[in-house]
Amino acid sequence: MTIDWLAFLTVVVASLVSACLLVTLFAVGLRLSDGTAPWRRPVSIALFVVCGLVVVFGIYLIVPFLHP
Amino acid sequence: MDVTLLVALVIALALIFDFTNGFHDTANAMATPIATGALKPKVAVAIAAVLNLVGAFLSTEVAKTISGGLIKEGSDGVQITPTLILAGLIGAIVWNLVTWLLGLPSSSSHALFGGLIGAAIVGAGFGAINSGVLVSKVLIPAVLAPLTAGLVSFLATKIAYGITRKRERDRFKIGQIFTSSLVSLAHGTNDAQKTMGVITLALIAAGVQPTGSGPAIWVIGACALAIAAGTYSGGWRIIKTLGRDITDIEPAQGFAAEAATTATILASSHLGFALSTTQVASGSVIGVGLGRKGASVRWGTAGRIALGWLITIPASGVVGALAAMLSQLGLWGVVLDVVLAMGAILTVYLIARKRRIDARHFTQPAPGVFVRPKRRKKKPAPTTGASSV
Repeated sequence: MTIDWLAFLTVVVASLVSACLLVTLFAVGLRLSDGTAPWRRPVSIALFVVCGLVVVFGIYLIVPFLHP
Repeated sequence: MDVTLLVALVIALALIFDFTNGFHDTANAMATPIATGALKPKVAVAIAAVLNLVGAFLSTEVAKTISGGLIKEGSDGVQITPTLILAGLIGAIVWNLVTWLLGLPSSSSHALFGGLIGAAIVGAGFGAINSGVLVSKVLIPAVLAPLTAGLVSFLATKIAYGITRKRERDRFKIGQIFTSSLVSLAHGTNDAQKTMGVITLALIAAGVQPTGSGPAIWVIGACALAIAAGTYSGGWRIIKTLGRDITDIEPAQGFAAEAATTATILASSHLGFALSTTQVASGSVIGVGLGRKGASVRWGTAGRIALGWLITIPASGVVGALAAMLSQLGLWGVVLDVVLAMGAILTVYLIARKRRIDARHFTQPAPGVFVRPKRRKKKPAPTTGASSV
């Protein structure tokens, strides 16, 4: 019985960072889309685009023949 | 007995298991978007079904290694025979149906492992089981999975509620569609393969297919269709448990939960520490329940789920072992096995029909209205307030 604690810790840190990053991006995007200043809208759209890229990266990770 | 008949029975039962796997695990991806109203129930299960179908064709890596490790096979003769696989499948199917009837989101993979382990013990003694592998690959991850996902989703919820204001949170629903789809796709690439692996194992054990070869194309197609059909039929009981009974979920929490589930599953499958999707998803839901101020987690339900996880392997193992003992009687034992399994399926189906839970049980909150509106304080806004902030 051997537990690879290092691998486990890597998983915890990686999922913590990526999930919190995605939620932060999306939440800031929502926050910025709700305001009157002219700069807010483009920034929030940019943030949503970054969220989209994170999702695309997720698909890249899921589909095996995208990463040999 | 006739090997062809036996293999045909194994394939049929494996596909039935695949179907139960599908409806058992729809909830992992789709419980939260259905609970928050991000997706209509029927639409949600349709998306999940399509993504499971697509996912099944994407990879066969897991299928090739399914039997590796847990049950010692090969080297010194046939320890795992088609008959034992048949018995193991019966254990897995029966346990999956019982937990579904009780609305428990238990791991289908554990049910499968449990059934196969039980059958292997009867067929070849305790020596057939790698207990070290069992502890390190199955039991310890079962404790760590919900803890990890719970921690991640707890923090994600805190962040989501810290940054956004009440009136902005409804639009988390749009994000939920994407995150829940990712969970579904990841599930499809993993779970259909377990059945492909089992069928391939049976074909190899029967000598139809050369040792070490991957699943044939018709096996992949049949498994993909079976899991997609199962997913579309919707495990509404488990969706209800995960989406409604553990805690009340708002869109921001739903998004946080799915982000945590996706991140944890992808991290675990790519960084070499396998975690069960079901346990990750359940942990995420508990985490978001703890993360929102004013929300409460119903620990009774959570405890029941945890208990279900604990007994999944022993319970499906016992059924698998009993089926394996019967099958040792020869042809009639195997026939009796299959007949009893069909009887069990029919019984569960009839009990389930009496207390039906289906898509119509999910009345969804209208846009802008949260799951459990609290009395608003001053502003007569059309959106009744969330219970937080």
